[in-house]
Order: sequence, then C-alpha cells, then structure tokens
Amino acid sequence: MAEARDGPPRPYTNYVPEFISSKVGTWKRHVVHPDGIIEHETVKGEKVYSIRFSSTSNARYHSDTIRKLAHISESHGAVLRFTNASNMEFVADSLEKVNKIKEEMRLLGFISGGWGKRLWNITSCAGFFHCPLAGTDSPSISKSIGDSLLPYFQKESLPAKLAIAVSGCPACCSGGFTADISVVGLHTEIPVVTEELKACDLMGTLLSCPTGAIQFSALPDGKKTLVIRDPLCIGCGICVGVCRGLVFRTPEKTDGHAIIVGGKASSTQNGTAIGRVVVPYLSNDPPRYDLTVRIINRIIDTWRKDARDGERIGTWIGRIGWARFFQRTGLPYCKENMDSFDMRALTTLKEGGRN
Amino acid sequence: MTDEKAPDKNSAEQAERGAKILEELEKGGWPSYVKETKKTRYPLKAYGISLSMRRNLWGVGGYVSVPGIPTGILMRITTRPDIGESANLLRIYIPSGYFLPPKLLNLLADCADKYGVGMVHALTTSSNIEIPGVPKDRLLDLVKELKNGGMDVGSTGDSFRNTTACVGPALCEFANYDSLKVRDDFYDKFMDYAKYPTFPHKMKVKLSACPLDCTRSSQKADIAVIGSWEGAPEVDSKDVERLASKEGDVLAKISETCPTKAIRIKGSSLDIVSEDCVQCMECIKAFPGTLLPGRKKKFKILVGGKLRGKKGPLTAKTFTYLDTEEQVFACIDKIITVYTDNAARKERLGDLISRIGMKDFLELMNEKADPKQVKELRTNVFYQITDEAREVLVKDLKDRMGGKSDG
Repeated sequence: MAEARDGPPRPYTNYVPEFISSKVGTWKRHVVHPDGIIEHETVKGEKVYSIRFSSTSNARYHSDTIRKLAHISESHGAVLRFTNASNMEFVADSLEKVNKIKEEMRLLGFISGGWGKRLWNITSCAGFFHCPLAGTDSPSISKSIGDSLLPYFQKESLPAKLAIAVSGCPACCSGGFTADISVVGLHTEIPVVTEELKACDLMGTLLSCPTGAIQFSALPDGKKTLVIRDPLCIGCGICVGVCRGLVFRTPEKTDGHAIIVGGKASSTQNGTAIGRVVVPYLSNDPPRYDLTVRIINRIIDTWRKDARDGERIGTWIGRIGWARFFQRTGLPYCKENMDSFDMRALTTLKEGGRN
Repeated sequence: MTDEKAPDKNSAEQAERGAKILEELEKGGWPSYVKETKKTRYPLKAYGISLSMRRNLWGVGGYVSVPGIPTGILMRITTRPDIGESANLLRIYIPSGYFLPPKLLNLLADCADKYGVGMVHALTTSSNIEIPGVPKDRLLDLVKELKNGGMDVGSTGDSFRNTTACVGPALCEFANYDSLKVRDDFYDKFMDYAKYPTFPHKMKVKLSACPLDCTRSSQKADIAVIGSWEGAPEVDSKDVERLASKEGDVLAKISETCPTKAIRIKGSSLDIVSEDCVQCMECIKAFPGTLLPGRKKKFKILVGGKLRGKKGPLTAKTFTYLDTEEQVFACIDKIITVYTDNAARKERLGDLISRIGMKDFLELMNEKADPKQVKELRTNVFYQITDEAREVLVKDLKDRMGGKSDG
C-alpha cells in the first residue's frame, strides 16, 4: 500500500460510513433522547442515531479497550467518533443498534449520557501523567469531580448545559476559562535556573516575562545568567515554556488550584465569555480533593435552585451579579479575588449607582 | 539538571502511600483512568508517588529531533529514572470529522502495543491521538508503520497545530459551511507550515461551522473561522404548521426565544426583521428544523484567541467577514505572513495584537476598519491620528454629512 500523504488522512469522505456519507449536508433536525442518545433526521425523514459515552478522566485507554471499541462499532455496522471534548460517540442507523451498543459499553464500564441539560463531560489535561509544566494533577481532580457529579451526566437534569474543564497549570490545555466551571492549577513558587540555561536565548526568555521579573545577572566567571525576582514573579510559567533552562520545582505543600466559573464559547445567551476566578487558591489534596468537590457541588446546587430554565452559569451570574453570587453560594470574597495583573482589573469593578 | 533527585530512603513509604491513593481513585462510578492504565505498561507507580508527594516528577520536556520527522514528537524526561522511564509521545492526525473506522482503531492499538506502553490517548484536547511511551530509536519505525496504514504524525512545535473542525454537515443541521472539507483543503494548501515549525510560536486554526462554536475556536484559536450568515434565519413554514397543530401557540413560543425581539408574528406566520438578527442561534437551537440558519452564508474570521501566553486568556476578536473558501485561505495566508514578520519569539498572535494594538494590526494587514469589529469604543481623545489620516477623515465626514466643502 502506498504511503499516506502528509497531514491528516483525507479526503474525509473515505472515512465516513456509507449510511452517513449519503446524508451529508441534508440534515433537518435533531431530537435529544434520554441516556445520551440523539436522533438526527434528514429532510427526507431518514434517521441516524448517536449515543455518547464519557471518556475516562484523562481520555487514555488500553490498546485492548480500543480494539473492543473497534469490535463494537464493526459488529453493529456503527462508527465510532471521538468528540472535541473527548467523549466517545457511536453513530448507527437504528435505535435498536444504539441500545445494544449501550449495553455492551456498560459491560466495559462506560456510561452514556451528556446531552441536553446535563453535565456534558469533564475534560482534563495530562497533569502529572505526562506533563512537565503541571503544578497540579488534573486527572485525579477530574475523576473526583466526575464521581460526585455522575447523576448529572446520566439522568439528573440541570438548568442548562454544564461543561467542566480541569487544567494542571495556567496554560489551560484542557480549556480552563472556556468551560462553565473550570479548575486551573497554579504555581506558587518561582522557577529555578538550571545548568541548561547556558544553551538558551537569554534575551528571548527575559522578554517573555509579562511582569519584567527576569533580569540579567553575572556568574562568578563573568558569564551572563538570569535571575528571577521573587516579588514580581506571578508563576505564569511562560518562561518555563520558552526556555529549557528554567524549571518549576513543584513544592510539596503549597501548589494549588483555582476555581473559575462562567466561561462559554457559544453565541447564545450572553455570548462568548471568559470564565472568572471565584476561588483564587485551594491546596492540592489527593486523592479526593474534598474541598474542591464540595465547592463545585455548592455552586451547582445554588445554580440549580436559583437559575431560570435554560440559563447557563455565566448567564445566571450575569443576571444576579457577583455580590449575590458570593452571598448565595456562601463562598468568601477576599482581596486575592481581585486582579493586580493588568489594566483589565479596573474595568471589572462596579461603576454608578446600580446594585 | 543540577539537582537531580536521588532515590531517598522513604521511597518505599512514598510508594505505599501512592498505591493507596491510586486504589482510592479506582473506586467510584465515573470510568476510572487508573483501572484502565493498570492494564498498560505505563509506570503507574511513579504517578502514584508523584501524587503522594504532590510533586510533578517530569523534568524539562521539549521536542526531540529525529531526521525525517520534523513535527509530531514530544519528549518527556523523568526526574526519577529509578521509578519511571523517560519516553516520547507521538502525536497523530486523525481524519476530519473524527470518524475512526475499525481499521484505523486497530492500527493504533497494534502500534501502541508494539512500540509504546500499550496506551492510546484519544483524543487530546486539540483532537489528535497520542501514543505515549515510545523510545527514541523506535520512533522512525513507528512513523513508517503509521504512514503505511494511512496516518501521519504532526501538530507539535511552532507550526500550525491541528486544525480542529466541528462535525459540520456530516451530522449537524446547523452547519453553514463544510468544515470538514475546509479542513482537508487547509492541509492541502498549508501542509508545509504544519509540517515544519517556522512560526514565532504555535498557531491554531479552528473551524466551527456555526456560531455555537463547538470547537471553542473563539477562545482557543489564533485564527477562528466561524460559519455565519447574513440576514434572518430561514423559517420552514410547513414545519411551523406541523408544530402548531401539535403544540398550539407555537408562534409566540418561537418569538419569545429571540433576545433582540427580531421575530414578530404576522397573522399565522413569522416575520423576522433581518437587520435585528444578531445570529445568536437561540431560536434555531430551541426549534431545530423549524428555524434554520439563513441562506446567504458568510465566513466570520476572528483573530488572536488564546488561553496560554503573556497576557493571559484572551478571546478572539472579530476581524472580517468573507464569502468563499479561497478568500478564507488568502486571509489566513496574509495573517501568518504578518505574524511571522512582526511577532517576537514565543509571542502568540493575540499577544502581538494586544502589544501593537488592533489599529496597527489592521494597518499591517492592509485591512479597513469596520464597525462590525467593535464591541466598545475609545474612552479617551488622546491624539492618535496622523496628518494624512486626519485629512482623509475630515473629507470623508464632510462627504457623508453633506456639509459645505470649503476646500
């Protein structure tokens, strides 16, 4: 067989099964069924069904599991697709097949759900699993949140869609700040200069710092090196990403994570919005991160009780205002909730006479 | 590394605490990643110890260079070689739409067994597949095997990262353009930029076929292409009648969904004021099939979104509206030229724009300013206008307002 072309396998039409390729571009509507099943209907009335399963907390699977997934899709004439939020979706041409797939997947330990007014998924970055930058382990947080919110993924209804993202550091690879609720790890210690700095572009590293915390300094032998001024460093980790000579030596006790709410990408309701930090620091407490999970549950409970039908978290807070959000959830508000990082901080404060 | 951590005495105690933590993480209803990982050859013990220490055991990462594979490999180095091995991750492109036929799935599983630790990461957060744990000397063979099976590696380094596309017309009725075909065409046209890292920093292009933005392009992508339309949504009057016979007063319900009150009831049909429609998709989402995106399609281009980088998370800003795929690619071409010429090393497009300002960026792009780009206007009158621009502006103002020209 000839070697593949550079880039993704294409054209995509080669990979779309016949029962979908004949209907591309002719879709008319979709209906959400319970148990994560969705019905797609074409203008001619033909129907195709998707069923969604949650991934494991970090979307990593054993090769045998992948083979089993391949077998399930093959034996039912269905097709497997992974979604942007790392869910698994099987698409088949009848409701019967989809229900059979549901049963077989249940035996493998995967649960279906996550459509409509439910928890859609919890995306997570690599964390301590693979990533050199992570200050917080995201898969374990993601798993702990998942266990406590499982009913919201399957049956229990929420006011609107809920997306959760867990990231191990401010780089937000899993999309912290874009999800309704996100947990983002933060570094509390400044990066350390190592031997490898010799081979690095010092000027580039110095300029990469958003707060000007990196300065030139001289070694005893007269060669240039860098120092990082502690009070100015905010632990954003940009320099660590730019320069191999700087590393975070994650300290055992102090690194932690923040909770951010109200982000969303879609154009509906209040439009595209970046999440806001409501809890600026929580300590890392594996395996179950009790406090983090309890805070997230409190936010969701308050939202369920308070929000109008269809209101996502960001829209709900937009309506009631932050003062009421803190009052109703019982979360503390402190000076550290304020931003001292840039000018945008001032624009977030209230003006005028309205409460 | 200066202070390589030597295996210390309480290593055994750490391992024990780690194992306990991992055991706890196997419980619970959500599919457990620890259970799944246990079946593989991944050094789970090291992960357990890092959890018990609350300390990351991975050292400086980066990209390993193997001749013949310019992008696609991520290097991972452990600081504790006594408990876990250093290894590489291989990042693999998947077909647009992410439909994975059994053939590809089996190929990935076989490759993971043969070269890696028997683990497949599907999907990464920017929709690639990764095979972790590949030793350096096995990388070329693995890439060759993947290529023979029809897949290629890439999407690392300072190049075009994976262009994610929503499922688009393959399953969704909201699609305003064929995001899957555009992704394929994108790689036909820009493969060199995706394969060889030549940019100041990474570049992400994301394609969402409607404003609901399933790929989160407006927040994560340097260049976001969102399918939009001009004017009002389309109303299927037959479907309105069908719904009305079933649910009664459906017209009022539809018109209530509109936040700008653009949907009005006219007798037994709907009248949508097209100038008032803001393309929020509320009505379309609430009544799929009854209301559909308008006929006159547009590509909306946004620039400068990112989560990571100097200025923190920034949302992408509306740049322009285009009509055809060719125009979109021409626009992307222009943006990457401006970006490569002007950005500092490791500066994302969003950081560049916030450093030089949107005005200068438009100038570099040779693009006109458009009130459609604007959310809020300036709140100062500080003098920011050149002599030339001043004359053009005053003349334009006079022309438009019909005042007397005094030469």
